[in-house]
Amino acid sequence: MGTQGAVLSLNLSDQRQSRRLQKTVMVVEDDVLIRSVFAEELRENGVSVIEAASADEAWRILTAGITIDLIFSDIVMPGTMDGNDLARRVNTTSPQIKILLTSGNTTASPDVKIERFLQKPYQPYLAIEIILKSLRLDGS
Amino acid sequence: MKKQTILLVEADILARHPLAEYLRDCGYIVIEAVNPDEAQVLVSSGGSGFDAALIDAASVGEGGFKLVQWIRHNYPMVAISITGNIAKITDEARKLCDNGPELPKPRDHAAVLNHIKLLLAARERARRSE
Repeated sequence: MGTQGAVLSLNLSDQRQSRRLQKTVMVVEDDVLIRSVFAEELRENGVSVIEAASADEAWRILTAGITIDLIFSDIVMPGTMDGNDLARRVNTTSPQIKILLTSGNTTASPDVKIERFLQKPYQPYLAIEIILKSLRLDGS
Repeated sequence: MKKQTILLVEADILARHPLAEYLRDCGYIVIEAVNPDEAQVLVSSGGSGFDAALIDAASVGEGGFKLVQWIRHNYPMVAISITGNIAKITDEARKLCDNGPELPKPRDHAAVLNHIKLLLAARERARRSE
């Protein structure tokens, strides 16, 4: 590849990166190690990530008017809401937001509309693949 | 060049997220913690990988000082900064204390003695008036 080709490739790569950064995922997880590591992995995949430690925190972000494209949320968490409650509220107030729920000891409530349920423990790379696919960022 | 890693301890997501994003835009890796307990878990697992810690002043009363001491003791190379409204902590301490935390260091021993006498006298007056 010549210099011009390399520059073009770099520009395309930058464009793809900036397209990806326009998408925002909110990771809602009370286990700080899972949340932190997963959020960093997602960022390395070019997604803007908001970290929430509970459904209540997530709801604060949503009611503050911050645009979210997808919510990846644990179900069992401390606070006044669990992941199902959060999903139910988001279904009502912001149905355009895609939702993925995960848990190790319960499952998604049948009345919530979600993209997918992921059983814990999940492979981070698989979860990221599903998220990128849901956001149409997987190149397909 | 290796990116430097900052631990950000802030309970309010609407304050934490924008600051974390700003610092990321500035080229840092930012690891977010909601409270000192989460921060300690992160530092225990990441250890000397952290270069600096920004700890919200509001968390100081919720184990933040212990966190600062613990980081200082175990990871002395981590730069620590307490951010936020220090005056607010003083205000909160004032509410908890009789006559407020009005004895700055270095302490004047005579002033301390006088302060204690005033406190005890006020308490005695209150007791008598009951």
